[in-house]
Amino acid sequence: MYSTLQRLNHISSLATTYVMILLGFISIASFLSLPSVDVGNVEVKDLIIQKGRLRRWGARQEELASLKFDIRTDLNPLLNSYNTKQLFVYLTASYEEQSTGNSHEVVLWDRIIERADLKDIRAVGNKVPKTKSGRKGRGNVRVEEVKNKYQWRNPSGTFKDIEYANMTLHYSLMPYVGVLSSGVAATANGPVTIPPLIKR
Amino acid sequence: MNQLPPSVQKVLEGKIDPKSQYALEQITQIFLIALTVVSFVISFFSSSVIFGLEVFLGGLVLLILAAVPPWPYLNRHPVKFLPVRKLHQT
Repeated sequence: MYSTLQRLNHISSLATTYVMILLGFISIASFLSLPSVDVGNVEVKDLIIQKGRLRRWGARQEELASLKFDIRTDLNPLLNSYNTKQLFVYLTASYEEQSTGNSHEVVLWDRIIERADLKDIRAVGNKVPKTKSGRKGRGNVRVEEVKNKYQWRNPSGTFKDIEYANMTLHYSLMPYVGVLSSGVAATANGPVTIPPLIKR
Repeated sequence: MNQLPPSVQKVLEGKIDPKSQYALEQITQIFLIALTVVSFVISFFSSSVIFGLEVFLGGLVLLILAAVPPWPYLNRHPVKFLPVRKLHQT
């Protein structure tokens, strides 16, 4: 503490240590106080199997499944909670092959939902409200008759062996500081049966 | 620091008296611990991480302004040097 530079050095090194401790407290407190999620609803409207190719060089002709679905869920309490920066929601179909017993899980659609004060200029400086449900919150996921973003193929090239698939919507919560957490945001009412191939 | 001109050296040295140095050491430790706790509580109850970090930064700026420059109130008990004496010739 004997000179100006030494005082500046000492105070700044103490302050950076205490900031790390503060961030540690914040990450532990937010991990222990995550709100719970009402599980929403996924409904598959249409599912067809056709012959097609993946959109890449050198892809072969094989069976591809295309589907249209509805999702309705409210993720606002999770989005506006203490330490959330953004949510990543993704829809997966998980199924098992009858002949070999291998189980697969494919991602068909995803979306990134960012917190309001990162995106909306009107929210800057205002406190983000505790829960905003209803049609106005950013965390409402309501999609209707949406096609899958990514093509669904089976590694063996055909969907003959597969009887049904389970659809679930997962979320992955990304905090400002702390551990990543994930969970299930919506499920379908039951498994979806895979129809036979449409022959042209 | 010895290569700099004396006027710059004086500014960078910024002498304060030993009693204030000791007091400043204690005060910075206690203030920073209290600031960490207060900013964590504020960020938890206002449900915003960034607001808590802003509170911490504000407290830190206050501390730096009050402690780093050599203010007169930190120099109230300067070290008393004895007067110059001639050495005994042996």
